[in-house]
Amino acid sequence: MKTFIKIYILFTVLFCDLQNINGQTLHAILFADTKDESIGNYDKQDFINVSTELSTIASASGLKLKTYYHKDEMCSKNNLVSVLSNLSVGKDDVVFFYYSGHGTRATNDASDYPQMCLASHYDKDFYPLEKVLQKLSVLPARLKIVIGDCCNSTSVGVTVKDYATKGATVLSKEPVNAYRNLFNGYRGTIIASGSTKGENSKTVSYKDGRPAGGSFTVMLLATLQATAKNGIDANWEEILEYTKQKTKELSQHTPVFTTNLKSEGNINPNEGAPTNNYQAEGDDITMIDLLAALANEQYTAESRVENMNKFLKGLFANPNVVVESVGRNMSTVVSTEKASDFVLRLATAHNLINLVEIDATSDEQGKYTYLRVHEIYKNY
Amino acid sequence: MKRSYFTIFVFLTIVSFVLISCSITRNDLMHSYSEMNMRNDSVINQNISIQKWGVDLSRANFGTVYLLNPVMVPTDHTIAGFTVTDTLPRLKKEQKHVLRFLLTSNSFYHSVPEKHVKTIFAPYLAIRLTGCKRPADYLLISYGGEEWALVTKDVILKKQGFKNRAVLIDFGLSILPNDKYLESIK
Repeated sequence: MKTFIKIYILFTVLFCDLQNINGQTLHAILFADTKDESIGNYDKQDFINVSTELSTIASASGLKLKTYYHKDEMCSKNNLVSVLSNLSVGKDDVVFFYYSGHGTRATNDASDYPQMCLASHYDKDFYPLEKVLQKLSVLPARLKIVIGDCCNSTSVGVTVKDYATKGATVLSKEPVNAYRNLFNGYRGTIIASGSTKGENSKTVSYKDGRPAGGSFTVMLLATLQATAKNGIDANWEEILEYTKQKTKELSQHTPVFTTNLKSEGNINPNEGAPTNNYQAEGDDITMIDLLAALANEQYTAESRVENMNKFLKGLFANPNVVVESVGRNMSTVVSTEKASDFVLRLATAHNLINLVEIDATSDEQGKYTYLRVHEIYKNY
Repeated sequence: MKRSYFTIFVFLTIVSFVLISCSITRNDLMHSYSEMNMRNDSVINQNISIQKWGVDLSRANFGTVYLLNPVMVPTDHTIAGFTVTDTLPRLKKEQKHVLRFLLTSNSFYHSVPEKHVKTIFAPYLAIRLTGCKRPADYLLISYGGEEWALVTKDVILKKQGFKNRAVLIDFGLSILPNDKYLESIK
């Protein structure tokens, strides 16, 4: 681990002058009940799909991604309350809240939106989705989005709660402009959930039986990606309405959403291309961010290659650790290589702007013993 | 002589069938059945329950009915971890017929595995079972997620989705007339 710290210090000294493009942050709060015996695998797929899309959105829009990810045993009401209480945001930031898991509602719930069960079976641990929006509404952030993929059906005993594609992603100019428009061009709030009062939200699988995720999440991401890929000038209402229709066709439940948005004017389509801004410094630097920093072309090619072996020793248990790269569907493995080859590829990569950690294991020293990633490039 | 005994037997069988049908009608279930456009020949089949549950429920006896609060922290009296809040009168004869029909008819099961629902399994009713060859102690009915389950030795043995929720709700209302929760989800 000492080597790792040395690399950290080395990069901090060498490249401390790099700065984030515009200083705006995308606060991504994800809660997923990935341990549930019936839908845990689907929630895990939702978590992977949404977290990867957020990385793409951050890369495209130039927003700095700050993650508050809670899955497995970390998905709980206590952790949600803690995140919402301690959230500190700037006036131009974007807050994106997403939950995948069980949901329900009380017989006399006034809200159109469900209560999230948050990996618990007990009423005392449930938390209303609309209460999240209420908590976020008082924060100065420019845009707040609250999404829940869960059931909205009534369960007995529940009480009303008090509150007032394959291959690496390649970002061409069209998706960058579409995501910039959606995430940088609006001020206000959005709340959405997978089903209307009294309905159950359902999961879907691929033809070979692998879990694809919650129907609502699958359709929402497909709509967002299709909009971005084709450079469609769509607004949030159109995206959510289309998602609603498609979810209804796929699984016979009807998503519900409310928007309260104000357009901030057109985003300049000729603004610069997204860049790799990952640096080997900061309070919340992660191992995957360090690997992304190795592909940062704002560092000279010589310095990246020179430091390559230090990264390899500092971050991987040994040079033969298996690294898998998966495609845009987050499950198809498009390449398998040794850590030594992977690190060499990163050090010489061109236009790689983001790396997303999909799965990993590590040894007692915290070094990778297995890594699965998704790579995001730009082509302009 | 043998022929007249046989004639009486056939007559009694027909009368019994008509009486059972009438009693079901009194429970407003036939209304739901006609709504579902069910065919008369899709009736009781003991093999269905064996296929679906691994237990022959066509011969099961139904005993005490318990009311549950599934989202309450467990108290002293629980069934499969769900808190019992009340004990209800035993099922009447016609209610037992209806329940046996529901459990052994294909019309109340999905022919292919249903998609998973994203709500908790929250049973409202627990019905004591006896007389099954393989152990099954309770039947649990969860209306929210449209699932039912068999419990043995205080553990859920098997859980699956049910179809035609309106009929299950009507059955619940025949046990608990004017129940606020069941009325609210009707």
